[in-house]
Parts: sequence; C-alpha cells; structure tokens
Amino acid sequence: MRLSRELTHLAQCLATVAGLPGPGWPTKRDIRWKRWLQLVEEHQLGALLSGRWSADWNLPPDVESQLQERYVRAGNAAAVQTIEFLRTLRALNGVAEAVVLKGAALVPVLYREAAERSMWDIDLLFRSPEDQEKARALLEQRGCRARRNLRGHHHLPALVNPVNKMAFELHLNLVTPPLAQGFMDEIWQKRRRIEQAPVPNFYVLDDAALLAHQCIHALNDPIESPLLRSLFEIAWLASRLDAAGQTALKDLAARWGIGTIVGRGLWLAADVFGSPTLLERPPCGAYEFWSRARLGWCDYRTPWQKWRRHVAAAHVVHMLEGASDRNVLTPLGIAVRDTWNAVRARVVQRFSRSEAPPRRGSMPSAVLGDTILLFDERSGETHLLNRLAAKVWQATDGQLSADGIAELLESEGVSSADTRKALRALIVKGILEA
Amino acid sequence: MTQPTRTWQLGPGFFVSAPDGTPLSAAADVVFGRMLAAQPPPEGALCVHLDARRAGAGWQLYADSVPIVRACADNNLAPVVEGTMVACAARTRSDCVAFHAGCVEIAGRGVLLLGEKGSGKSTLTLALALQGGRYLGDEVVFVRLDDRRIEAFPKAAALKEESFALFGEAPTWYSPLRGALRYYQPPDTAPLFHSIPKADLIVVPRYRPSGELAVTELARHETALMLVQQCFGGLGRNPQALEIIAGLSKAPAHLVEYSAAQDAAAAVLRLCNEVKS
Repeated sequence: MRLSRELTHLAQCLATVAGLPGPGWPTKRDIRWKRWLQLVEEHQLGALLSGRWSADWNLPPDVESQLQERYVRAGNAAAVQTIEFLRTLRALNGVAEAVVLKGAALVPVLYREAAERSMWDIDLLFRSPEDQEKARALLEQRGCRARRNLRGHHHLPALVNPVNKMAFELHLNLVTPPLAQGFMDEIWQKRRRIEQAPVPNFYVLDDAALLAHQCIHALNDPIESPLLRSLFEIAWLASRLDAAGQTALKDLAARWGIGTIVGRGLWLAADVFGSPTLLERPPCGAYEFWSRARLGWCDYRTPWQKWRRHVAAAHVVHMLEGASDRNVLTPLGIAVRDTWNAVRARVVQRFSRSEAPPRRGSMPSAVLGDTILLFDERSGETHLLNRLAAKVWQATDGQLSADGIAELLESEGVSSADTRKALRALIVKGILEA
Repeated sequence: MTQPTRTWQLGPGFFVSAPDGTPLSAAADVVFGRMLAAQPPPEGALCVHLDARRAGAGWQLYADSVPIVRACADNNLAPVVEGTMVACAARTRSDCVAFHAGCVEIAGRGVLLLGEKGSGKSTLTLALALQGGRYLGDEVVFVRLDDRRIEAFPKAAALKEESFALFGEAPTWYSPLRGALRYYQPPDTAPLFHSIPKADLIVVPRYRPSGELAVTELARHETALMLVQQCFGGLGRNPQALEIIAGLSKAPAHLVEYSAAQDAAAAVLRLCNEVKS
C-alpha cells in the first residue's frame, strides 16, 4: 500500500510499540510535522505515542511536547472514564449480564493503562432484549439520555451521561445487518472474564472473536472509529493470537460466512503494519479503495465537514458493494438539497424579500445588555451578536418577512441595507434558517 | 492486616482514598490537604481508591486497581494526582457549572479571577489571599444551579516557577505541561462547600514580564465570552450554563495587566473597595 511519508512514519512508530514489522521508516525524512500531528489527532494516537515514546522515532522537541500534552490530558480523562465505566459495571452486576466490547475491552487486553486508549463510548453486548432493556432502565435512572433515534440498528441509541459525557451503546449484535444468532450464541459462550478487574462481571470476547469484531467494527464505522488506530489494534491482536486462537478465528470465519469482512480488516492491517493475515485475501473492492483513502483524511475545518465527507463516501461504497439499505438516489438527493440550501443562503436571499427567515431551534440564548450570546447545540459554537445583529435576531420570529424586519428596524434608525446585510450574515452563520 | 487509608472529600458524594503513609498519600495531601474527609464516606457515595506502584523512575497511578496514567518521576506525582482528581471532581457534579477560575472573598465581597493558562491567575489569587482575602480556590470554582452561589474548591494553589520568589520556600514538583510547580495553601482557606452569594468583582489577570500596571474595564460581553472560554466541559454540558454566565457577567469586570503581583493585588483591593462604596 502506498502511504504518505507522514503516514508511513506514524505507522512505523506504532509498529515498534507492538513489535510489528511495519512499513519501514520513510526514505525521505522531510516529514511535514504539522500534518503528522493532524494524523495523530485524527486517529487519536497522541497519548499512546507519548506513553511509548522512543528516541528512534526522531521526533522534533515541539512535537514531543505536544504529544506529552495529549498524554496528560488523556490521563485526566482516563480517570473519569474508568471510574464511570467501573461504576456502571458494578451497577449492572446481578441486574443484566454484559460483555464489554471495543475500546473498554481492549484496554486490559492490549494497553498498559487507560490513558493510552480513550473510551468515551462504552459498548456493551447483551444476550437478550430483556437484559438490554434492564440496562437501559438502569442507565436512564442514573440520568443518561438517548442521543438520537436509530431504527433497526444493532445497538440502541447511545445513552449519554450529561454530566461527564460518557456514552453507553447497548448492543444485541455486533453489526447491522445482524450476524447469525448462532454466531452470537457461540461468542457469548466463549466470553472470558478479565481476572485482574476490580468488578466480578468484566467480561470480554475471547481472543478470536475479539479480533473478528475489531475487523468488522474498523471498516463499518465510517466516522467515530479512527481507522489507523483500528487497523493497528487489528494488527496487534492478530500478532498476539496463538495457534489455538488462529484456528478458532478460521473456524468462525468459515462456519458463519464472515471471512470477507474479517479478511478485509486483517489484510488492510497487514498491508500497513506487516501483521499476520490469518485468512485468505478477499477480493479487492470499493471498501479497500475507500479505506486506503480514508487513512490520509485529516485536515477538516469543522467536525461537520468531516462527518459529511465520511458519510458521503461510506454511502457510495455501501451502494457499490450492494450493501446499502437506502435508495440509490439518496446521496444525489442530499447533494441537490445541500446545493439548493447554499444557493438560497447566499444568493436567493438577496432577491427574495417576501420570505420570513425563522430562528433555528436548539439555540439557547442570553441577553447581555445590547448584545446577545447564543449557543449552537448542534455545532457546539458560541456566537456573540453585536447590537445590530441582536436587533435583527430578536425581530426574526418566523412571521415577519425580510422586508418587514427592515421596515421595523428602520423606525429604530437602522438602515434597510444594514438589516439585510445582517440577515444574510446570520443565515450564512446558520443562526437563521435560509 | 488491612493497610490504613486516608480519605479526601472532593465533592458532595465523591471521595478519594489512598494507602496512608505512602508517597501517594503525601502527594495527595500536598494538593488536597484541606479537603481531608472528617467522616468516612456515607453509604452510596462514590469512593475511588487510588494506589501508586513503582514504574521505572516514576509511578503508575491506579484507580480502583485499574492502571490509569503514569507519573514520569517522583516529583510528578502530585501534579498527576491533582490533574486526574480535579477532572473527576468537575465531571461528577450535575448540580453546578464549573469554571476554570480562582476565587477569594475580600471583606465579604466575592472576587472571581478568570484567565488563560499562564495568565498569572493563581499567583494573583494567592497574593490576594495573603493580603487579607479568604481563599476559595485557584483552579476550579463551582456555581450552583439552584441558588447560583459560588462554592469553594479549596485545593492548594499551584504556582509556576516565575512566582516562586514571591511566596517563600516549598517543595518543588514537576509537570510536563506546566514545568516546575509549587503548592501553597493559604492560612485562611474556606472549607469545602463554603459558598458566597455572588461574584461582586471579576478580574481577568494578564501577567507580563515588564511594564506598568494597567487596569482596563471590560464590557459585559467581553466578560461573558471569557466565562464561556473558562467553562469546564463547554456550554454543551449544561444549557443552563448560559444563564449562569449571563448572571455572572453583570458584575463589574477588569483586565489587570501586571508585572508585579503585589501591585496587581493592591489594585484589585482598590477595585474591591470601589465596588463596596
């Protein structure tokens, strides 16, 4: 696989952590460190790299200190995450039996400490819908609230603790569309307990199933899963799998028809880190092409931009693979709607004087004398409206047209041109609906 | 035989314990000495047991037997305990909004000190506390949602090397982020949960190595934006934070640019008197 020199260097650093061959150090040493750090951020690797730093990596001192900063912050967060995670497992003990998945399961298996692997989302697998419901009731009783509705998904909508922001995803299956119940029964029976855990009910999947799930998860989660870290974890798990585990993985793949999806993860990881492939190489498809491209995506201006890029690409790939449950025209429809909205916001508004621009919902506000402070819950941005913008915003009740607002504010000494300019600015910023 | 433990209370239902007589408990005492629990944690309280085990030249910190993070050297232990436990204290409270700020009570008036990292906030907070102010905290200040009162979090003030000469000798610790550090606990420190009705004055300190003292009045929106920036976990954590910020920003606020902490403290005391009159 051809990787940029920044990705090659980063992958080689990771390979040394896990004792893997890796892609080798890049031949050209002129690493763009800013981009290297963007990749570290994108793939959430800063704390791990800082914790395992080696002089062989030849990091410039300022890059080292930035990694150290990430490690300290990760350590502070890890304490909160671990305490909340253990508190939840303790509360579930005797109520509902669960198997811990993903990051929280990988911490005791692969990592030296919690700081090396952040886990704001805790994924728990349940055997039955009854146990899943009991867990949901318990978390809701403790103040957790569902983030958004998910229809027909393999886990319930994430339940978020509003105080510490930890999210809990309660699974009945590992993926959508679901894997066979026989497979789920089998991996449940083979689950193992983390012996050194301070709670008696800390169970994870056995080594073969853990690796299989990591492969499935790495390529199916288009955004939240940082791909390079996921591939690294696949490579690390694969390299640790003993002969019995390898046989068990091959057996699982053959009997339950998951060879392609697991093989994809293993081969992509092997391409980057030189780890064991274990299964036969699956036919190369859109998935592989997309995943290779995704590894280098890191320079987003906003999380929204990142989300759209990943989701759009994932959607196209799913369609090409024939695995999309959505209409073929959906992405086209989204693109047309977005373009229309952009045109309306920037151009049409200048000519359309009869429309009544409404305020957007979910924007708590506080009046500070002449100015207004707004918080956009969707983007997490805070806006401070100056005197003119505040007047315009207060006048936009969804009833008055742009002309009406201009007329109203003209009586308060604001020129019509200034009002329209402010209206446009508020629409462009997403504070008013176009 | 069970090893005796030492327990600190960091929130209404949040306790931290560590084996007594160890470097870990000594480090925790340096930071949270005034928050030592008078009573054992009540039934149902969240009590996290910390432990530290040797890891090379440093220590591996454990919370409830789970390895969390490493202190790179002996003198890094107190900053690590401080960072992890302050984060937990701020993230376990749903009854208030937490701000990254210092707070002192001067003659019955609440002074809130807001500032970026390295702005000299802790230095000025401590200087004010040593000139007759009562110390409520230098890192985290809680504003309660129900009665809007400002609540003390009286951990020791952490000062960076530039301020060592001002406050006398104390053991020196080290943080990779903040460099050399010393912890000072002012004699007049408010107990945990002590609260004051409101901020009567907001001070935004800005340390500069040289230059005259300059005090500039801040507009309400500037204060509000500063409060937004210093709100723990951002506004997304609690939409009511915006109301709290709107309330706090009504207080008179000043940017205090200083090179000598004593001068800045004197200026803040003057401002405080003006508020009083």
